[in-house]
Amino acid sequence: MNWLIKHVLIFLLITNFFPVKYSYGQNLNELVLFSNVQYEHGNFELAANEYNRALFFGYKFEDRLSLKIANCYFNLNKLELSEQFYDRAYFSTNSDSIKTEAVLGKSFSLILGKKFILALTELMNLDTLSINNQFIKLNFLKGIAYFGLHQDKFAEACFFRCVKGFTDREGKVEIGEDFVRIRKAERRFNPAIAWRLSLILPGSGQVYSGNYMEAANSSLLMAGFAYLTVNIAIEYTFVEALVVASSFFQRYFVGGANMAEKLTLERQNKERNNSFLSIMKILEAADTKNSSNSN
Amino acid sequence: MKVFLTLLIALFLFIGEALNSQAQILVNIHRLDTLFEPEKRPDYRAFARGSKNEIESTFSTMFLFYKKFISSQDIDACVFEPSCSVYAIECIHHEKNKMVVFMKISDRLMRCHGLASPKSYKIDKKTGKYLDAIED
Repeated sequence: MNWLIKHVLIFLLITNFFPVKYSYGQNLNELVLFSNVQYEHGNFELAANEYNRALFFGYKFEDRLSLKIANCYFNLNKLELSEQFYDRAYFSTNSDSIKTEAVLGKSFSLILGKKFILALTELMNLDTLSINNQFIKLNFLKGIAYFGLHQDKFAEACFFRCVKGFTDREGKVEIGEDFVRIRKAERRFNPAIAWRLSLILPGSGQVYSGNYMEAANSSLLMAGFAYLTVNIAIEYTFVEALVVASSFFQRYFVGGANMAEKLTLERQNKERNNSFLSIMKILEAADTKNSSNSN
Repeated sequence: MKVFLTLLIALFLFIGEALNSQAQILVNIHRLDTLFEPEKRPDYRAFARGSKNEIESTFSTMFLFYKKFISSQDIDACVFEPSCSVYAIECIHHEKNKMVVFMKISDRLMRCHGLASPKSYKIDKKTGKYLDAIED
């Protein structure tokens, strides 16, 4: 029996004591290093999880880690989570540069979520930026937020400041041309005019917006209902025609006008989107040129 | 050693961000490509694809014709999400017993009016309409 106890004790000693004494576990620094590697390789899901673990176990640099986690979620398109972590980075740091990065990141997230007013509110706190890169980023984001709010004059001014930061004179002219195109499209495709035109003559609003098939469809439908009304009035009585066909007539008459308004707005937005994409291309080209010059 | 390693990682975290911002200022610019894209109109052809027999094919064709040429010119009067026509075509495709299909569509059409009680339905946040999909 003693022999057995002795051997069990030796066994327990070997299996429990030695691994504890000499085994090597991952510490927080290594965890963050591992997460950094994952981040650099674009494995944002894993990186975010590991950064979160490091944060949970009390890693020292909460601000920088929060910023990294926020960037991970931003890249994963989890915008609400990224906003939360940008906020956490902002409130846990004393460094101005991290605060600025956090606000810019949060604003970008808000813009992607189409919360333009909230993004502008955040960006208004950063009006006095002295570093050129951050100044460009700030104006870039403000420009987009204003553009989203249809405040084109402010958007134009912000994009101008952006290209000024890149010292790209040609870009300024091209952006100016894009905004002229937007104003032209807004005058040319006015939804209110399309709606009124359709009320005067069904289908004309659709012609105004350049949708000829929809125009033919609306005209034919209204002509059909008009024929039905007249036919019933002739065959039976005017009152019966009014009761049977007037509700259909009213629905499709107003519906056609609404459709014309919607199509015109769609066309206007399409033009706006094209101009916006063109502006983004100009800014990207200026950015690439600027970075290659500085290198 | 531990302190040195911690500082090294912190430096790595910081320099990584700084280098990134130096290389290109407007990173992630391509994520904005679809930001102001006009909303695409719903494609109803998907409802016609699952037709298993002639009756379903006929109704699917009628549905597509209605959606393309008639409903598009109508005011937005249906109080439900999905609309009555979509509900009807889904019923036709999903329900085997045609009598039940007829009953369900009739029931839905009778419930679709401006006085429908808000207490009886959940509200779709996007459209503000009452949610009433077919039961599986």
